[in-house]
Amino acid sequence: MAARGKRRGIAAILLVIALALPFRAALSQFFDLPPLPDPWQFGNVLIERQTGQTRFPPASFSHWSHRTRYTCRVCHFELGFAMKANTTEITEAGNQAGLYCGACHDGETAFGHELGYCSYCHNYGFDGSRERFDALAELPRAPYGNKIDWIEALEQGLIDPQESILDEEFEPIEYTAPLELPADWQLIPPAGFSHEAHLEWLDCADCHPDIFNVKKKTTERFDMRYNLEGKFCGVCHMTVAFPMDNCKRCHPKMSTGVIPGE
Amino acid sequence: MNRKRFFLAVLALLCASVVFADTFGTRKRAPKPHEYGNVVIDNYSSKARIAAVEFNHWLHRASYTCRLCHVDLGFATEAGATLITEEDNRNGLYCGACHDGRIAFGPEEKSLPDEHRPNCDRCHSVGKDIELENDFYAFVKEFPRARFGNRVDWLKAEELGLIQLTDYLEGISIPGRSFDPPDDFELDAKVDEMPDIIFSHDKHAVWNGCELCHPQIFQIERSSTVFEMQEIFDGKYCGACHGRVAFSNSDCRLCHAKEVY
Repeated sequence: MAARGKRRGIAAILLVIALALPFRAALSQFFDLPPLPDPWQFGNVLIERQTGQTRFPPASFSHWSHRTRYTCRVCHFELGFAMKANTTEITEAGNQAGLYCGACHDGETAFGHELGYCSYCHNYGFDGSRERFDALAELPRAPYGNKIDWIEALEQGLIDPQESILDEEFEPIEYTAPLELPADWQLIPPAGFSHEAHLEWLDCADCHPDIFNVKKKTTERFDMRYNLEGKFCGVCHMTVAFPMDNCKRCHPKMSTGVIPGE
Repeated sequence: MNRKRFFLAVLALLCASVVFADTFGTRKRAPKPHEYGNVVIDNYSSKARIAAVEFNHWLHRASYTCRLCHVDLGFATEAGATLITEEDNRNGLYCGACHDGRIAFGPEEKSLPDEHRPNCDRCHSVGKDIELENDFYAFVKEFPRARFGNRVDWLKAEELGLIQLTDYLEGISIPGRSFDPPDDFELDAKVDEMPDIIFSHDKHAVWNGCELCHPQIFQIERSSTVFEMQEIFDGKYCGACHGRVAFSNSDCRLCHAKEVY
């Protein structure tokens, strides 16, 4: 009888291992995040809406060079830039009329749309901005993305991005309520969300109501799988804001989570 | 037969999920300043093989109050819900109340004598490359700026006298005497940290009178209409106008401020 019980015990353990193995495999596949580009290329976007239709090469845009001077809300709220590469209907005529890039790149605030400057942007991404990125080496470090802790840089006053270009008296709304978001999976500690940190850069309308409903717990399908597909938090936190490779940054109670590289 | 139906149902579900997949968890396309408040009206046009109508609020609101069209002329506040027909217009209803060749261009005239172009195109313009008489960006150039929508602060433009609004149409509007709208009042925000809302009857009444909002959208007894921000975002209550044609509800501070904007 005892031998039979022992055998049963072993069978149960084997069964658990057999079930756990594919689960583990699925887990690692699930979090097999796309490889990150070099720090100076993280957040760089190649804008090629007209490829093959014009003789001009695609334009390159780097988030890191713009975010030292402007908060996200300036372009992604005031200037109407979409959050997905190549979905904003930027045209040369629009730029010349002061829309989109042309709101600043007018020859006064920043270099303009004149001959001689074309290749500053229309350069297939080979714009030699590497040296300018290296000049940001003094900013606080982070493990992933640009390897720059932009929030810390802002808090320390090392960068001073403009909050609005259309409203001189602009002050972000003071809404500091932190959120605790329970994870779907039982063993994962909850995620913390800071409205305050986000409002330094963004307007409420950057996320509400399109990405997240404002009524608590009514945003459907908000889970990690979709974040990783570039929805919800992933709209920014895969592409331009710190990437999700750093689990602890949002799930602070996780025991591990910073994948080697820190 | 059943199998075919099942297959079709699965296919429809798949298509629906593909369509839906792009619409959640991401940002919607933001209209350009000249597109904000534009409405495509296509109840009957396409079916009659005529280009649909694109109506712009920005040009009309520079001369007329909201109330004039949405109360006196009976336009609904939902795009496509008015069910305007060409016959209605020619009988002097809806668009035809002004677009009769007297107040504004009518359907028959040639817009410019040397162009031999009937006026149809000026409204039935969707899919055509129509150059409007008024270019949006030139038109709004001198107006006070805002950060959203048409990027025009329409309230201030009216206050400064840069635009003058007509609120009465002879033969259609009912003459009445104006009276002072009720005082401004505070609305408590439900979320603790959000500043309370100050609602100004004054500022609304200039454009809307009373009838545009009361009693259909808001009952007149204080606190009897209960609503939430998410419902406003979904186009109800304040969202019937704000977020579509009136200043966008994407700048919280315009309403959630203990001082009147």
